[in-house]
Amino acid sequence: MGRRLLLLALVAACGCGRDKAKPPPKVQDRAPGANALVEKPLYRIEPGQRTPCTPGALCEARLAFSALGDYHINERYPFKFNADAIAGITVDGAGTFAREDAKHGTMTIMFRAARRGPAKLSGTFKLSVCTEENCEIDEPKLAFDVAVD
Amino acid sequence: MRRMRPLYSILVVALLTSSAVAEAPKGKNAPPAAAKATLGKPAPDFTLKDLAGKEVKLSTFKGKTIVLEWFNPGCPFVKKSHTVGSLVGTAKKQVKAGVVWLAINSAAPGKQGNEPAMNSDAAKTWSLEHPILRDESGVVGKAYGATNTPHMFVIDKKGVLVYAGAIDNSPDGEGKSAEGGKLVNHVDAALEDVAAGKAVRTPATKAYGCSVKYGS
Repeated sequence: MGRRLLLLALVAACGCGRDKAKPPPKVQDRAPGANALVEKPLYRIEPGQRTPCTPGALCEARLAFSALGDYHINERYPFKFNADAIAGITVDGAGTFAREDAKHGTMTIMFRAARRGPAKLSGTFKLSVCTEENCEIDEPKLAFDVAVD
Repeated sequence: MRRMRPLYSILVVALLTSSAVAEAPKGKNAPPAAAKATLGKPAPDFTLKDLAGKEVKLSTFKGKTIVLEWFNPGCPFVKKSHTVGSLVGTAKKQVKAGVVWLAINSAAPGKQGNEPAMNSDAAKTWSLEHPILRDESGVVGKAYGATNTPHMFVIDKKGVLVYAGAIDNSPDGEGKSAEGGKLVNHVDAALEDVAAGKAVRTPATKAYGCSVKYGS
């Protein structure tokens, strides 16, 4: 009995046999391409937070943008998402980009879906990032899932 | 002595003429490029070489309206402006109307867009017929306060700087994101005012694009 108690105490003290509670990895720390829709040395675009969407209602799709390395968001550049024509989905405008800090921002795309169920939005994300020295413009094409419940 | 008079007169006239020729390129009002450009004041004079090595002196164009376009063929905003944006055909149209258009590249050696071959290729690809002047030291760029490519300056027939800023109000370089909804080519608008003898309605705007690749 005494030995068992001693063994239990040792296990508890060292934390053996337990999963260590690790903090979730930061976007920057994730393995390249883990969740990214587009991953380049200059920037990464990932699906953003999902919001509820019902057929016929004005819904939001969000894309999380991160400038990488020495690059920061070009504040003067009008970031846009030019959506492709997709049957059953109407996209309002070219998205609204909200810059959170020098390296991060969120593109919010407003859309209406005619039917319930999974759907895919696709289009061209127009962006610009700069270092102290150079600015770059890029126009990656991307597609991502939206859920209409 | 009577025979000497005509000879003396010729000598005096010759001396006066040579003096006038020597003074003319300096320009009466144009300060040297080391002076800072200020809207409403005479534009600083400069001499730069074009891609072929030919010297171009600003003050020799006095009496004509001049556009200075800060240029870098490696800058994506310059590429956009010259391929789909407000600089497509603008220089050609204005030169045809009598305007002098000078592109100036202030990129230092080793910096983006400095290489002469890259500039020549861009001129060919984008059908640019105006001179591209090299300002590797950046003296002229800094005198004019050029911060971006493209960065535009308009000088009127009197040699006065009357516009400084962006080519247009669409900071994507494509003319597809006009601030306020309607695309305005600021240089065309300034040249229109100058041609009509009016004060330029919008003499200053904030340039957008890449930074000028100065050496220091």
